[in-house]
Amino acid sequence: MTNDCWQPCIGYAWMLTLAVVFLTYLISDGLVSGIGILSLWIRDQHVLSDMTASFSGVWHTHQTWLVVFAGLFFGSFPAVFGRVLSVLYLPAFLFILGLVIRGVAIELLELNESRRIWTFVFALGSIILTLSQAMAVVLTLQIVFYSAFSRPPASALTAGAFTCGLTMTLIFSYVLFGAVYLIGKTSGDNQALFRIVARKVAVFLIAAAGCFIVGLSIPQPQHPVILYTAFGVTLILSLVLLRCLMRGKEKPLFFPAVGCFIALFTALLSTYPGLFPALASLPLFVSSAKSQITQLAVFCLVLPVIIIYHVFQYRVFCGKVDEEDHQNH
Amino acid sequence: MDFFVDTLILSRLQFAFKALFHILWPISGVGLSLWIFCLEWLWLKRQDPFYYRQVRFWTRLFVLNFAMGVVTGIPLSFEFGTNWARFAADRGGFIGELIGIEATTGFMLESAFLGIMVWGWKRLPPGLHLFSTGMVALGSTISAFWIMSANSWMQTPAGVVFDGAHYVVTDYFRAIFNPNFPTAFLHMYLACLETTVFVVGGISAWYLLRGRHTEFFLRSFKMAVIAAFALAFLQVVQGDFSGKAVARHQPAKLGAIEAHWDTNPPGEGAAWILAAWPNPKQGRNDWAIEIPCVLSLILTYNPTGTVIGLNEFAGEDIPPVALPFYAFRVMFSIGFALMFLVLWSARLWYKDGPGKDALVKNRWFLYAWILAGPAAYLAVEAGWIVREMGRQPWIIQGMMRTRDAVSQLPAGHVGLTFSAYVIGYSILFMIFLHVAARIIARGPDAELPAATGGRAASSRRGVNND
Repeated sequence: MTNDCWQPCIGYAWMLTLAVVFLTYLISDGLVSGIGILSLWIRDQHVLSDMTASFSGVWHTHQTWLVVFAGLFFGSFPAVFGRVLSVLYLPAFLFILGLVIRGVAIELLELNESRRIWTFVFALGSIILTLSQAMAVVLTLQIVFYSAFSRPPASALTAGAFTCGLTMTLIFSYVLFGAVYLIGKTSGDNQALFRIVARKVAVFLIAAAGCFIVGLSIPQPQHPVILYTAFGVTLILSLVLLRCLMRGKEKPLFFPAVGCFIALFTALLSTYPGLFPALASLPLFVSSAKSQITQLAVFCLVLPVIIIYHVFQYRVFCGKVDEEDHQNH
Repeated sequence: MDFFVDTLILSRLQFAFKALFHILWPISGVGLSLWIFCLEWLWLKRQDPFYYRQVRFWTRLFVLNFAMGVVTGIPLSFEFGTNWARFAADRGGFIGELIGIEATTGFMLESAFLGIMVWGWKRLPPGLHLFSTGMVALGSTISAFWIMSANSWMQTPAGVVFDGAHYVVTDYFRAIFNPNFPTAFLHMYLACLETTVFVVGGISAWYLLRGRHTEFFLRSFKMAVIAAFALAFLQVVQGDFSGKAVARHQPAKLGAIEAHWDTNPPGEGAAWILAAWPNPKQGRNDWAIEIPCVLSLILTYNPTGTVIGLNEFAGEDIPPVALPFYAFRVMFSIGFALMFLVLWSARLWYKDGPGKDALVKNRWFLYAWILAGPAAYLAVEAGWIVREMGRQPWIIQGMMRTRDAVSQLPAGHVGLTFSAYVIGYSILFMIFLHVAARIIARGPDAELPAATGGRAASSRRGVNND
C-alpha cells in the first residue's frame, strides 16, 4: 500500500464525517421522536394534529440521514460496519422495529386514521427507538470496557446510574428538541403550553446529564478534562436555554438545545483512547485508502447540492403551522 | 430439524423475505413518480384541471407506497452488517460504497423533494412544484441505478483486484458498468414502469367496472393502455437481451433457469423445456416436456448452437434448479400474458368508434386489467427469485460463497428476528391494504379546485380573475 501516511488521515476524516452525519440524524430525527413521546401527555386532538402537521413536510428527510449514515459507514469502514452491527444485533433490530412502528403511525395519522390509537403507537415507536439507541451505546461501551481494560465497568450501581442517565438524557434531549421545534411552529396558547414543557424538560435534562457524566467518570476516563468541560458547557447552555424560554424568545432556542446534545455526545470521547484500542483490534483502516478517498470526494461533491435543497425545503416549510397544513394530501 | 437451528438458512430466509417484501415498493416509487410528473407537466401545459386531480389522486397512493418503501428499506441496509458481517467486512467494500452513494445522491434527493411534492401544494408556485415532482422521479431513478449496479456487480464482478486480503477497486467505470449491469438495469427499470402502468390501468378499470367517475378514469385508463402498449412489447424484447446476457456471463444460472443439464453435442440443438422435474442428485430431469432446438435458437440464433449445460460445472458450483426454473416460467408467462392483454386492448379500442364504449362494456376485459396489476408484481418477485437463486451458491459470483458470508450469530437470535419480521411485515401489509383500499374507495376529489400555491401564483390568480 503506497498511501501509508494518508490512510490514518483519511480514516479520521471519515470518522468525523460519520460523526457529523450521525449527529445530524440523531438531532433531526430525535426531534420527531421527541414530539412522539410528548404526544403522550397531550389530550387535545387539535394540538395533536398541529404537532404532526408541524413536521410532515420534512420528517422523511430526517429519517433519510440514517440511511445516508448507514450507507457511508458501510462504504467507508466495511469491516467495522460488519462487526459492530453483528454485535449489536438485537438493539439494531429493536431500533428498526421502533422506526417501522413510528413511521407507520405518522403516515396513518396524516391520513386521519383513528387518531387515538395511532398517537399511542407513534409514542410507543418513538420510545422503542430511543431506548434501543441507549441500549446500543451501553452495549458498545461495555465491549469497550471489557476489551480495553479487561474489567467490568466498575460496580453494578455505576453501570446502572450510567445506563439510566444515558437513557434519560436521550429521552429528555429529544423531548426538548420536539418542544423547542413546536414553540417555533405554533403560537398563542399552544406555544405557551410547549414553553412550559420545554422549561420542565430542560431542568430534567440537567439532572439526567449529571447522572450520565457521573456514570462515565467513575471508571476513570482517560481525559477527564473533556468530560468536565462537556458537562460545564451543557450546564451553561441549559441555563441560556432557560433564560431564552423565560424571555419568550422563539428562534434562538434550538441552538442551546442542540449545543447541550453535542456537548454530551462529545463527553463520550473522554473514554479515548479507551474507545479506540477496542476498535483498533478491528481492521479499521484496511478498507483501501483509495476507495475512502474516492468516496470522500464524491460525498464532498454531493454535499453542497444536498445543503442547497435542504435550505430550499426548510424555506418552503418555514413559519407557523396553519389550517392549510392540516389538509391531507 | 436442523432447519430451525441453522444460522445460514435462517439468515438467507430472512434476507430473501425482507428483500422480496421491500422490492414491492420501489417499483411504484420509480414508475408512479414518473407517471405523476408527466401528469403534472400536462396540467401546467394544458391547464386542464383533470390532470391536476389525477396528480392529487395518484400522489396519495404514491406517498403510502413511499412510506412502505422506507420502513422496509432501512432494515435491508442494516441487514448487510447484522447478518452478513463477513460479506460486509471482507468483500463488501464496493457494495458499501455504492450504497453510500445511492443514499447521498438518490434517496436523499427523493425524500427531501417528496415532502415538498406532497405537502407543498399551497406553499410554492406550480412551476417549482413541478420541479420538485421531477426531482422525486429523478431521485428514485438514481437510486435504482446504483442499487442495480451494486446487485449486478455481485452477479458479474469486474474492475477489482485481490490485494491479498481485500478486493480493491482498480477501475470504477468497469466496476459500476459491469457486464450484467446494462441489461439488468434496463430490465428492472422497464419492469417498474410496466408494473406501474398496469396498476394505474387496473385501478382505473376497477372504477370503470363500478361505474364510478367513469369519465375521469376512462381517460387515465386510455393513457395507461397507450403506455402499456409500448412497455409490454419493449419488456419482452429486452427480456430476450437479458437472457442472452445471462447465457454469456452466467452459464450456470442459465442452465438452472432452463433445467439444461447436458451441453448439447455439436450438430444437435438444445431443447427448450416447458415443464420438468429436475433431479440435482443425478444431474438430469426425471421427466420433461421439451420443444427441440428452441433453446439453441433463442440464445444463439442457430438451431444447433451450443448451450453449456449444468453438468459442466463442479457439483458445489451448481445452483438450485427447481426454484429458478419455475420462477422463470412464472415471470415469462406473465410477461407474455401482459403483452396479449395490450393486444386485446388495442383490438377493442380499434373497434371502439365514437359513442360505442367497447373498452368499458366488456367486463372480462376490465377484470383482466384489474388482475394485471398484481400479476405484474408477481412477475417482478419471480424475476428476483430467478436472479438471486440463480447466482447461488455464490454471494459474489466466483468470489465469495454465501455460506462464507454469513455472520456468526446464535441461530436463536436470527430465528427470533425472522419470525418477528414475518409477523411484523404481515401486519404492515394488512395495514397497507386497508389504507390503500380506503384511498381507492374514497376516490378522487372531482370538485377539487386547482392549487395555485405561493405568493407569485396567488397574485397571478388575482390578475386572471380581474
